[in-house]
Amino acid sequence: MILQVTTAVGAIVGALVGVNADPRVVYLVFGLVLLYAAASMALPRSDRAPALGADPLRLGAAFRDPATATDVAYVPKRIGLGLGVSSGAGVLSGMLGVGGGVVMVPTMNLLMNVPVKAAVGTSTFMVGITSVATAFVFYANGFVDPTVVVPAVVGVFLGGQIGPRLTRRLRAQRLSLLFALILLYLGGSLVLRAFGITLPGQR
Amino acid sequence: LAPTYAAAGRVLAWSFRVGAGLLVTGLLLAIFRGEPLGHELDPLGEIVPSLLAGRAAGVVDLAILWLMASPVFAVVAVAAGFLRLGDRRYALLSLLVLAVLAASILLALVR
Repeated sequence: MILQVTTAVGAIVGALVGVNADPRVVYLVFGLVLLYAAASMALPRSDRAPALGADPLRLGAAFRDPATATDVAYVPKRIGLGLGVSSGAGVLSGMLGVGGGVVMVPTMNLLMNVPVKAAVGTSTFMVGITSVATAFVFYANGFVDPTVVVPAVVGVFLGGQIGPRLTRRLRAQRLSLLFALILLYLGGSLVLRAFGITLPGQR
Repeated sequence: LAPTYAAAGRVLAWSFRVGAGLLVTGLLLAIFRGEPLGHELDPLGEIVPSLLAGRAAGVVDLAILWLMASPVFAVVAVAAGFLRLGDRRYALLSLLVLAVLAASILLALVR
């Protein structure tokens, strides 16, 4: 909730900027963000939290990791830095119409020492809230297309049923690598599109 | 905190089911009546008359707006959970997030 305040405010600012931006700039920014996310996902990341230390804001938490059958306790660090980066993530997600998870997961994991699985779970909850902040700005500008939303909702629903089951079975490192490859393809194709180049099979 | 998070999860799941139900209803109406869907969501002021007239596009628009707003219900559940626990700091933060979201939604409604 602490990060969500600045992320949501940033997202509204980003959405207001995004509706007036040149599409090529949006493609380029989004593509570069995805390439950054791909690189950070491909790098090996530790799922072990560092020493707990002081917890004046009572932010500490714990969860059971089924992959390693261990309890993981952690206390998020560098809250001020996290707030700053999350407001930037909010601006970016608002500009690009994404939930900000591609920025928030590395932020929480690499900067705030939150274990990657907790970062993914927290980010999933935040993405929905950040999306509300931006979706209504895009709605106000007539950028929500029902003919696109309907099939997307069906796809997201089906994927949402399958994804968590696959996540439990796949090892985190393989999952990260698969995610990185998909982000690399998407990010690369968007950067190319910003310069007027489309890959085979794309419109 | 586990009951609070579980309550938020249940609220999200039921909200999605309601939205999906509305969406399916709207789609079935569109298919059986041969009504095309627009490429843009109508303003709220036009959705209500469209719903009252029983038009498929009105039902689909309402479903999409409902799905867009669903996370707000989860934040309300989280705020209520913190208030029940007597955790004023996080209840206040949750209410602050709700205020930001309300501002965003108001921006859309006054277009």
